[in-house]
Amino acid sequence: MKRLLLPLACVIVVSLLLGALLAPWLAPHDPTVTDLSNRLLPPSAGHWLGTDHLGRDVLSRLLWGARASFGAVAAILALVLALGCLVGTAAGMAGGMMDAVLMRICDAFMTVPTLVLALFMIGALGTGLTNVVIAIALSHWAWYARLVRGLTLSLRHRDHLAAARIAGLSRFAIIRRHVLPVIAGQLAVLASLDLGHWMLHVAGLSFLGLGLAAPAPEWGIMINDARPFFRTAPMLVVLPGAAILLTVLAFNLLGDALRDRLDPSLHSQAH
Amino acid sequence: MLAFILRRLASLFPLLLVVSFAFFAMLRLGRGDPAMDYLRLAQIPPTDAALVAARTELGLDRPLLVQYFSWLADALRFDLGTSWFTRRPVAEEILLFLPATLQLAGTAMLLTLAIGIPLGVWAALRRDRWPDHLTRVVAFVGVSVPNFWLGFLLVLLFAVTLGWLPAMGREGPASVLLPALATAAMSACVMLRLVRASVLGALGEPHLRFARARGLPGRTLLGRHILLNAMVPPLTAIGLHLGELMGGAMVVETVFGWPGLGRWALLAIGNRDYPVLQGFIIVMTTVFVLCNLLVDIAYAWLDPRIRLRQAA
Amino acid sequence: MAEPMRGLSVTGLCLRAGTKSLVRDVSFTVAPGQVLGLVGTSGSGKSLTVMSLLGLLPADVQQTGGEVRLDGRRLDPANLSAIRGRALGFVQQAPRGGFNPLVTIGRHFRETLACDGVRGAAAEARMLSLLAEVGFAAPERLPDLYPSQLSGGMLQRAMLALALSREPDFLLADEPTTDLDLVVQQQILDLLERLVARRRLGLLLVTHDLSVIARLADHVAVMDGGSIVEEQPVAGLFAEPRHSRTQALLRAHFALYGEAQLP
Repeated sequence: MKRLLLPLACVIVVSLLLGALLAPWLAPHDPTVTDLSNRLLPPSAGHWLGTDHLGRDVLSRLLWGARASFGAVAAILALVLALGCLVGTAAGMAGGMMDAVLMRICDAFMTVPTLVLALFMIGALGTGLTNVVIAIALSHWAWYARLVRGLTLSLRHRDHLAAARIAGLSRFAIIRRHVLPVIAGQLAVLASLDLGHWMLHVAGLSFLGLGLAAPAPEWGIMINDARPFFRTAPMLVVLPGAAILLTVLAFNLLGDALRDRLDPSLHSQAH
Repeated sequence: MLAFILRRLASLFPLLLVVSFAFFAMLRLGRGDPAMDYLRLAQIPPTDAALVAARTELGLDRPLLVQYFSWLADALRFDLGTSWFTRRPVAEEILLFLPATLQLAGTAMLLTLAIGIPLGVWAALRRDRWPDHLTRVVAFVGVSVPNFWLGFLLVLLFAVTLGWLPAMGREGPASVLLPALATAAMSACVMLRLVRASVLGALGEPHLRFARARGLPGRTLLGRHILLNAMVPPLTAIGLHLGELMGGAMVVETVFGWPGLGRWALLAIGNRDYPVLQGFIIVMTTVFVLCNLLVDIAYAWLDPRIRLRQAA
Repeated sequence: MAEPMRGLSVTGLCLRAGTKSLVRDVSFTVAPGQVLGLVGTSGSGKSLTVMSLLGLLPADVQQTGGEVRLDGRRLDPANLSAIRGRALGFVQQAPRGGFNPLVTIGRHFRETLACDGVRGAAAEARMLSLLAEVGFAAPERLPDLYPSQLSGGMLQRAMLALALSREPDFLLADEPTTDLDLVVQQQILDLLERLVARRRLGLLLVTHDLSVIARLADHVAVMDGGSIVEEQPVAGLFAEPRHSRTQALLRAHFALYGEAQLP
């Protein structure tokens, strides 16, 4: 069972990624072109998944929506890792006052529920997909900074770092060559389990109308758009949600498998 | 125990101070000129003179720290300022909307426990048999479902098709069930897996072997020596779940037209209504932190090792 | 017909996990008022033997043969729960692990006494007399304490009192003095000796420590690789060990403690 799930998750993630990357070529129609004479069509040869309330092709919008979702999650991942590594290694290597201040800041960010914090950030930054990405990244980086700081501290006193320092390597070179590689595996485990979580946040905030603006093809927006027709054309809500579910499911399966691979001890604790 | 509670309560103040200042600064330094937003919401043309007047009125010309302490002094008297949009006191609006959100998040918490704990215990006691496999699959799907989408599906099934429960609004005690279920689904699934792991851990405890060897009856073993101990880790996780549920409630409220803080905050986000945003974050943080304090107290009450260490 | 033999007797016990044989054809008898020492290195199958007597084998270990008789009456392996605690008391090593950290000492006693319907004031009185019997000078202070507030030696005494609370005729003690410091070890061994004499307990004493055997046992069975390789009275074992495993155990013992420990 378990052996079958991992390849399945890989196939889903890869095909979704391909679908997202190749959306401009794969999508049978323009995702934003409206055609009011072909509203709310059922699935047909021309429109495999039918059309929405403005006559737009649902399949094309789903493919383009994958693009937005994957792009957003990738950007969040990059931001969180960059910020987490920067603050974490800085606090861990510097110690003292710097460490104390940085960790208090982390505490502040960890005190507030992530989605509530993200909502507040969007209030401070303004709406739009970029700000949604920044807000989600800002509400999650502190955990990564904490992890990186802890690992840095545990590494700092190991012999090979002392040797590197004696050999005259700069602090930055030590971090790059000796600290980050060790941390990478742990970060990968933590991040892979968070990808699905972030995807859900992006979808939720888009659904609230805080992300991309309305005509853009995005899964959360598609669900919000379809709300008035929810009772007559439920598939318009069901399909984008199923796309989110499938993607998050695949991410979580991958994350689980990665955790098994890289950190068996974590697995036995959580399961 | 009282000393423990008081000490924990006292430790909250510096934390809330740091948090509130961090978010105050973020809001002020975040973007653009708050005076512009103020004038826009007040529907005053943003002439230079009007901007200067607004800055003076709002105190934006003073140093950030002075602004913060003036806000803090008011906040300590439960005065969170006035909404730039509705022109009503923020504290009053929060009191108007907070109960609905707390009802939703609280019901969702109860559902999380009511679903997660029994199913988790069941899965653990039937390890590697069908209940374990079934709940594993359900939990895996459950943590991947967008809560707002689940809300629509629940409406489709229970309100539209079956007609058992209301689809929208907050009328009658039954109306909270569907939004609470949508909010709770993910937490319940996480809780289920946690309880399962925790019960499996308790089943392997050496004291259970000695309890069996004394010939204790099954219900004493299960109740006092397995479940009591197995509840400690899930209890400490309740705090984190509360945060997820409060955040989740914000989104789900929109689906069900639930008159809580979510819609109110959404309006403020769109309007860039600074006093409302500031009040929103500080109230949510305070509620969350206080709930976590309650969890800590319950934890100390359940586990004498914590209690005794605190007393020492 | 012969008079049924008094005592706890095991004949032909075989245990296996899957295809792996763990315990082979183990037989012994514990008589009332007598101490049978079961010695062997770790992994020799002695703890598993005790667990099978209590019907508390790990899920992956099966009993494939043998029977247990209590005063001549055959015990049903499927229904050992009626015997546990009542006829066979059990004391394990590492006493801290034997108590539920969330439950007071008193509650451990009350729930155990309740198995035989002893409740309320009668239970309190029984608990205090049991605690006094195992050497607590002020037993009334114990019931409200949590296990984390007691030392290892105190917990081991409390565990003995708990094991005896249902008046068993036989006591199975699995490494009862391991993890305790030497002074406390001696106290526990003295206590066990007194209890055996006073209550005419049959004691199965499982240990890897020959000094414990020398101090307490009447008979000794040596286990190695899942079988009993030698059994004889304790004096004989120390004087004339027959099996090479026994000789090795003795050499190791004398290397640690010197010849002075001989009984």
